[in-house]
Amino acid sequence: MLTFKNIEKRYGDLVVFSDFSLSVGENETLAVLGDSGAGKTTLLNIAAGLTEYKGEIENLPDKVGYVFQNDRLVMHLSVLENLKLVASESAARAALERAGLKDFMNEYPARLSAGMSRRVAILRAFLYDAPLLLMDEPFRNLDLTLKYKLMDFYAGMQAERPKTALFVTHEIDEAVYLSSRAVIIEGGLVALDIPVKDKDEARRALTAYFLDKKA
Amino acid sequence: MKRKDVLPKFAPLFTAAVIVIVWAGLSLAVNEEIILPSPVKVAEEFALLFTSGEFYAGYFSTLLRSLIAFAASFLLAFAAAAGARKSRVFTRVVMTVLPLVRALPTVAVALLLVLWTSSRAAAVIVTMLVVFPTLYTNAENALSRITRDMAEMCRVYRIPFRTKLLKIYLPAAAPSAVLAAGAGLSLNVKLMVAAEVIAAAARGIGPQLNADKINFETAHMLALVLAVVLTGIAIELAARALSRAMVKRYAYV
Repeated sequence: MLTFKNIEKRYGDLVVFSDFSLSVGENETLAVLGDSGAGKTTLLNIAAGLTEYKGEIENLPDKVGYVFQNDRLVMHLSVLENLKLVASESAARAALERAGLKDFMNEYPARLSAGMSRRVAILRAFLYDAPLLLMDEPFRNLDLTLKYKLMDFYAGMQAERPKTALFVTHEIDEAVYLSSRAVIIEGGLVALDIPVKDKDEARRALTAYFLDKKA
Repeated sequence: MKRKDVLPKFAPLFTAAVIVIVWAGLSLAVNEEIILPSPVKVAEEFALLFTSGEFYAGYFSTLLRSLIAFAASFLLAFAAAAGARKSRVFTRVVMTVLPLVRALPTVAVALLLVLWTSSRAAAVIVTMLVVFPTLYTNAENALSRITRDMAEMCRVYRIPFRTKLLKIYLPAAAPSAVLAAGAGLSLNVKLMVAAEVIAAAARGIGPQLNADKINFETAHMLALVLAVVLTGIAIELAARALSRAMVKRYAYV
């Protein structure tokens, strides 16, 4: 079990986390919600080793896959070459074929649609031999059809190669659709932590939290 | 083809034709070859250059010195720009040094360098110094293509240094770097000729120009100038074509 213990993080005078703790079960997809500036991306960056922090993280694997907010594909490398940066050529080819991107493996990212580009970014994170997957608003700015298509794509990958996943989103629907548990971060702490067994119930609980806050 | 498409394409040729016509007119009016020889006379001299061993020796000597000065300045500029991206202190140092380098009086520095070093070294160092600020700005521009996002991606996915450098960073910076290199090298050739004259180098286009001035060989002098101008244009056009090909191939956005 991945455990964040008493995490403290500041940016100058701005305190993001003062005593933050959270556990994530093995192969669990945990949705992390919260307002902008609540520290969701910072939490992922801490797990990815991209930002300094105080505190302790137990069972943090050496390697993590990360689906960034923007795809961060290398623009002068083809789709296949992008995946070859993190995996073997045979694994990359097989994954592209399964993802329906076989015909685009020699294309450059600039020539891909937004949805294809996202799929490549998600594929890269899954192909990377890491037990922990971090995803920062991976379905942002996508139309609904594409969003659900990609979420199904993620769910399929997760079923095929299960990983522990921390999934940051602003969308309750996304959280409920993909995760087995959801937390809301507020004031540098976990303000709500609910299982997502009954999706309607989870949706109601998360919506109620934000509506109560608004009131 | 539409008229508006034709005009920009032929604009350089049109400009060159106007210059030659004005020059021919002035030459006729002056009617003194030592002061302003005709374009035809200069063209003849230009053609004769390619039969002269002395020209080749001087031309390639200037080109070699330009390449050495350029390579040194290019590497220094990229190293400084890379350092400035890593450290704020280094950025401040570079920002202090750059205006100083820009403000250096070229002739005075060249004369001092002739005293301290050799005339060949003086020409190379002066050219390096003059071209450095421009190359530094271009290097900064090229390196800005390597974003923090890309560096973080490499870090997360533990991409080995060699792969990172050869497959990600260098190709990302390449189109801007090639463009900068072309412009820098073209400028370098011009500066080198001037530096050779100031430093009184033993061999090169600069000393040949100096000799022509002393012997009132104006047509030969203009033919040499034409050779330098055409070299500069050729370098810039080649760099632009290479950069465009890279951008097209990789579909940079």
